[in-house]
This record gives sequence, structure tokens and C-alpha cells, in this order.
Amino acid sequence: MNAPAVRGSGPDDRDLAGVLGEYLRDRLGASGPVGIGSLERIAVGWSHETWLFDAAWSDGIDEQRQGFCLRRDPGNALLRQESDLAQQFRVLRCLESTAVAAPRAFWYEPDPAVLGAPAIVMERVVGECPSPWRRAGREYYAAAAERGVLPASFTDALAAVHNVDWKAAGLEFLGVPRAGSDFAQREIAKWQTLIDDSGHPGHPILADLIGWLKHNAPPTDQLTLVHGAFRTGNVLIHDDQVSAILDWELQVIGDPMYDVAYMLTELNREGTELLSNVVPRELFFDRYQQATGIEIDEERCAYFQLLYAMRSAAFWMSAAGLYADGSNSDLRLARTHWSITVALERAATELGY
Amino acid sequence: MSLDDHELLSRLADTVRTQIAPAVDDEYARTQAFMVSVILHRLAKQAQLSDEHRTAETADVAALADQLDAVMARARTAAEDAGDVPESVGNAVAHMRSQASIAAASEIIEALYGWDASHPAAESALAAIRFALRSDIDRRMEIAR
Repeated sequence: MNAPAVRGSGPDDRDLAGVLGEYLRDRLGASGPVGIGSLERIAVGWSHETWLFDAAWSDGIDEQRQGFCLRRDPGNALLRQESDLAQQFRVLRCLESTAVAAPRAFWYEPDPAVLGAPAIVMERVVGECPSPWRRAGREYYAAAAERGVLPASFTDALAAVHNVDWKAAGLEFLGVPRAGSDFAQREIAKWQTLIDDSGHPGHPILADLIGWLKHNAPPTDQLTLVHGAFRTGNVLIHDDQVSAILDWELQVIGDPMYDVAYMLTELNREGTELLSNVVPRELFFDRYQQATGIEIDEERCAYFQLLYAMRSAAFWMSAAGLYADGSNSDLRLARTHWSITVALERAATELGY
Repeated sequence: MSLDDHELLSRLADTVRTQIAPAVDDEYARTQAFMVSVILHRLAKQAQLSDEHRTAETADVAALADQLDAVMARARTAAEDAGDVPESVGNAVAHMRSQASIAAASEIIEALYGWDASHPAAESALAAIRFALRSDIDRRMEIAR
């Protein structure tokens, strides 16, 4: 696959292996050159680029080999305003002392001239990440659900996120909502900003949705770390266990029901009653509540599902805007012009009309 | 023989999907070619339905504006305080009528939420607007789905 051109004055992708070898030499304490092998861009996502590679070097005594993952911010990707690599790096470092299955982050490089774009170098975690939007992925998760190990592990992974002592972990820098409905109001404001920045003219259904959300924002009685996009497709799986939670782009300190609503939503499953394509509902409720001591509030989850409808509309408006203003030529973004309609139709249905 | 715009776009979409995209070796470029086909197909539907949708929207907006004027008139009559219904709502309805565009309903909705969304008149107005918006989104979904 041809990778899109990288912005900035950094190295061309064709030289990336050499550049990475140079970048890692001092950082790994290598006595000589660092060999970079098996370099591949694994995801054609709409957010940050993800590259995997192996590094081989000598520390002067022994030969060393390690797998790494490079995340780069090309500056023209979806959620560029919401997804800051510096923040991701800091979050991943904070999570190292917790029970959350997250990749260890080694270095953050803000200078785009060094690695072609601002980037994080982190550990390469063993596991696979089948897409739940493809038939093969859905079959994978259905088979894993039958075996019964992954549903428990998946639930435990979310519970571990919500059980993080976020103050002790140093995550207060994410921003701490005030008592009351501040968390919901903050999320509404965040997605409103993305919509405003997209240049999209909006639609009355969106105006109705936003008005409704503002007037019905629920109070949050318990604050936890919230991943913001916890679903199959955003976790690595090895031997039917979650080996790492990925996509630390939308995390906040907030209402744990925000994540639970994302588990419960029909948006994240296709043709199955299994939550996120893999977890039986009853198992999720029992295991999650037992592991966290948090009672699932389905009414609040229903509210957050409407907030996700707003978020979906904001995503698609932002994506379509990236193509419209010429910052990104990926035609998948152009197609999202019509995804906005689908998101609005869903919002209308959820609002009861 | 000539083709209407929507027929031409539809024909192009089919050609890209069945002849051009499958012949592209590079995975990224092939995906992009299939996207071209999807987008052309949507544009073809849009071209085909454009006049019909515009006519329906114009009629819906006129009917909605009449309904909203009636709701607000009843509210003014019923209210002990004649100034109960804010002027911004009436102005927004007049603006939508002059624009003949459902998009202008956003301004009315914002005025209603800014006033009191739980006021019986606001609830009636929102119900009427939502009815019209359901028709609008259903039309849009004919193209988007």
C-alpha cells in the first residue's frame, strides 16, 4: 500500500528505517548502528499513522532485539484537534503504574523534522486486532465469545480502566469536571467546537440534539478515567485475552457510564446481541459491577448514547471538512459527507422522531 | 441519444466499480477508486431526486411556518403576560418562511431552547418541527443509504 505523503520537512517514508535507526541509537544505548527490520504501516486509520518495526542492536556485550510501534501525527488526520500525541504519551506513562493493559511508551518526539511528524515510540505488544466492521472480524469475535475467555477479559479490561486511582496515577492534568452536570456539558462543548471548526453548516436535527443534550445533562456522581472509545477494534487480543487497550485519543476524567454506554450501544455491534460483538449482556453487567462496585445506570447510558450521536455527527462533519478544505485527499473522507446524514437520522430516531 | 445528468453519473459509477477499480493493483489506489464509484452513485441519486426533494421541502417549510405561527398565536392569547413568547421565535419563523429552507429551522430550535423547551407552546412547536425534520431526513436518507 502507498502511504500518504508525510507533511513537514522530515524524512520521506522511504528513509524512515534509517531515520529510526539513528533516532534509537543513543536512546537504546547501542554501541553501533541499530538495524531496523520488518517496518510496516499497519493501519490505514483516519487518525494517527501506526508503524511497526523490529530493532536489532548491540549494547557492547550482547545482541539485543525488540519490537516497537511508532505513532505519528501527520497533522491532517481526523480528530487532530482532540488527539494530541504529547497528551497520549503522558497518559501512557501514567498508566504504567496501574493494572490497565496499555502499551509502554518510551519516547515522545515533538519535532516534525526528526521523525517526519510529531511521534511516539512505544512497545510493540503481541496481539491481533480484527476489525469488527468486517465479516471475518465478526466471525472471530463470535468464535471467541463461544470459547468464553475473551468476554470476561474484555470486561475486566474496561473495569481496570475505571478502577484506576487517577489522582495517584497523575492523570488530573486531563481536567477534572466539577460536581453536577459539568462532565456532560464539557463533552457537548468539545464536540460543538469540532463541529464549528469543520465548516459544516449544520442541520436543525443537530440543533435539536444539542439543545436537548444541554437541557437534560445528567449529574455525574462518580469520576473515573474514561477511555472514550472502548470497543472491539480498539484492543489487541492474544490467546483470547486483551493484551493492550489501544487508541488513547479521547480519554477523559468523567462519568464511567460514558464508556458503559459505548459498550451497550447498537452502533458497536452488527447482527448480534453480543455487546461490542463479543460480550453477553448479562455477563457484562454482572462482571463489570462486581469488578468496579459501580452500578450501571441505564438511564444515564441512554443519555450518553445520544451524546455519541452528536459525537458521530461531529466526527463525520470534521472528516468531510478535511476533504472539503483540501487538507486531506483521502476519498474515504469525501464519502463521509453522507455519513453525516446517517448520524443525523440516528439522532432523530433516538430523540423519538 | 443522450443521458440525463443522473444517468451519466450512475453509468460512470458502474464503470469505475466494475472495470476501473478491479484493474488497479495498488491496494490504496484501488480502495480510492471504489470510493469514487460510491460517491458518483450518491451524486447520481442526488441529481435524480433534487427537483422532487426541493418541491417537497418548499411545501413542508410553508406548512411548518403556518403551524408555528398558529402555535405562537395561541400561546400569546393564552398567556397572561402577552410578552411570554419571545420575539426571537417569531422572527426565526419569519426567516425560515422567507428562506423556504428547512435548514433555517435551526434558528427556531435554538430560540425555543433559549426560551423554555418545557413550555407547552415550545413543546408543540418542537413537535411540529420534528415532524417536518423527519420528512427531511427521510429524503436525505434516500441518497445516503
